[in-house]
Amino acid sequence: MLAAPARRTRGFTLIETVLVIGILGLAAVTLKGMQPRIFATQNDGRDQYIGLELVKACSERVLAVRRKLGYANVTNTLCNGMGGVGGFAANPTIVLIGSVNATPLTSCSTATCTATITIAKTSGPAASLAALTLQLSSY
Amino acid sequence: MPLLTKSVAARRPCQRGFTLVEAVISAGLVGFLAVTATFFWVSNFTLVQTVNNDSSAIADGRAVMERLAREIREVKIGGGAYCISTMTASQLVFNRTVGALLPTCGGAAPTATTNDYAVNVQYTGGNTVNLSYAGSLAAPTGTFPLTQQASAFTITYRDANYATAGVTTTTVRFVELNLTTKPTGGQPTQTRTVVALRNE
Repeated sequence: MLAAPARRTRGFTLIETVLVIGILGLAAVTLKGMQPRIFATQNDGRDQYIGLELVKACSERVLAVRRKLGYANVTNTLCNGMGGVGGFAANPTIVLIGSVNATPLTSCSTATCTATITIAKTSGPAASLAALTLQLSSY
Repeated sequence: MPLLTKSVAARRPCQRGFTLVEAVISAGLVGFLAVTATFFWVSNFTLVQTVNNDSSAIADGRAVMERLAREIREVKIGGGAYCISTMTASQLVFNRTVGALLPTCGGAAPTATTNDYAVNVQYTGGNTVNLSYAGSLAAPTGTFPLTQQASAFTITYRDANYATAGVTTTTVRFVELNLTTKPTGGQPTQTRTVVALRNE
């Protein structure tokens, strides 16, 4: 009858203690492992901003060339060398698509031309960037 | 009462308390765990502070670039009403003239006779990029620091072919701003913005 309470006060066994310490350690390591994600999120935001500015710079150039030198002077290598900041490629990519067919052109030669500008990140994690598309007309 | 005697005898060992060695070992373990937990706690504070500082510097750089690009977009080249009077790697000054076009720009400190106002973008080292307005028509006048977290700022001028060599105030077509912001003890972030001048 009174033997049961005596059994309950015997304390933890070594195995139980080790298990609990192991579980606590696992939880701590999991929490610690989540820390770098805060940096990753922030770095992604920063890279999106830097990349967007480089794509915008390229679009300024494309639009200025179209306005000043003429529509046919917009080539797909126009923005070479304009990158190279913050781990991004030196050459933003321009894909020129004419109004006649979907084959990429080296320079605008038809009545309308669509320039799609992208830039790749060459060092560090890739940035999630949307391409910037400009519709160019020969007016 | 044999039953009671047996029971007391069985419980006595459980009530003997801890030995000194057991108490010291458990205190040591608790101390070790506390130190480890505090380390995590402090490192989290440091992390949050670092992320906040870096975010602040990046946001600062964004605001500076946006503001300067909007100002510089006003420039009129080729003798227009907004003419560039100073263009160096660390300074860009342009003037607005009123009424009849003036033959020369008023410079960073326009006089009453030139009757114009000056917009002056200047970086003199340190952590501040300054934007100043001067002249009789400028309101407000004064120098406005745009950021306290700059670590480098250069202005590059390019002609219609995007070349930098021999660019003058009349052949400049693109203004390229390169800004590096860096919080105290944090990571530098370099950004570049290009403004195409179009008000010919």
